[in-house]
Amino acid sequence: MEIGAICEALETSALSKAILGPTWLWPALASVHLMAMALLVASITAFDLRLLGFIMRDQPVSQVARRLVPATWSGFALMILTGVLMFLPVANGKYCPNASFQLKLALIALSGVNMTFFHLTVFRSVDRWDRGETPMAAKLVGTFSALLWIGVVAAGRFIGFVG
Amino acid sequence: MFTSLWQWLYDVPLIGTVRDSQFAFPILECFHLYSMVFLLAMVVMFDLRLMGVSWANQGPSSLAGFARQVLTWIWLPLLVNAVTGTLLFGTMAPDYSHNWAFQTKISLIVGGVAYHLAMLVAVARWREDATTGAMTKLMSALAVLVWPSVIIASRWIAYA
Repeated sequence: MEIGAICEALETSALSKAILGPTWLWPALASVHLMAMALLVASITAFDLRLLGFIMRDQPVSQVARRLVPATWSGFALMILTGVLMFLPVANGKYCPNASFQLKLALIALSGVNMTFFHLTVFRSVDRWDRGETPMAAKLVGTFSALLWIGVVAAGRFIGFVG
Repeated sequence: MFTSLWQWLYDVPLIGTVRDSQFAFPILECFHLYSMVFLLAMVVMFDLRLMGVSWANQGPSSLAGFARQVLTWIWLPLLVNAVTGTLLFGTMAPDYSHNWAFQTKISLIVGGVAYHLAMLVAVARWREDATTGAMTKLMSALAVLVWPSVIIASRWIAYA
């Protein structure tokens, strides 16, 4: 099945019609989406800045990670939920063909790759640099992550301004 | 209210440049949003700590130390949001000033900035081992709702 056909099917589904029903639902979803964004982007960027050694230097990296993970994942879950619900009713008409939306998804995926790489490699040896200077690989991962999320926020904002 | 002031702002050359440019508006919005993330995160963490929420209180710093850290950084997102917000508002000032959702947003911001700056300055002077009583916890539980409400009000501007 072609991607355009899938988006068309999603847009005409009963759920999509239901979402377009009450006028308050869209701004309510957007509100939760933005609050969750603050939770997600702030917690991720705080961890990135710790990897770079800019903040919370007196706290072990593994402890900072443990504290921030609940905020990051609850923010992410809320963003996906509200994001999908806002996407569905205008999937084909607005989002699927939108270059900025495609870029946003690609940047989120890249951020996932960056995080997975970090957990499978660099973070495994955290015991050796938990309190001291973080290794160059950790600093690079932190830099990429912070920049990728700036990109996600920016790409999201541009959806309404590009064709 | 202030009709001539809003019209003056609308006519400021820099704001006219933003209005006429294809991408200046969304670029300013990007800064406004990204900066908002950190403004909200710092203030909400501060209120959660005053409320005694255990997740927020795991760090090594005291309440006073945390308030001093927030005061060191908060002016940066506050300044960015004030400048970008003024430019964004200016492009539509006469219309926006009549919008009840926008009026609500600005009222919440003015109240929130005044309350949280006063509270941060006060807590920064507390003793290192100070904890919060029931009254402060209750006040913080109300205050923590202010900035999320700013977001909600902002999302309703297009519908008001």
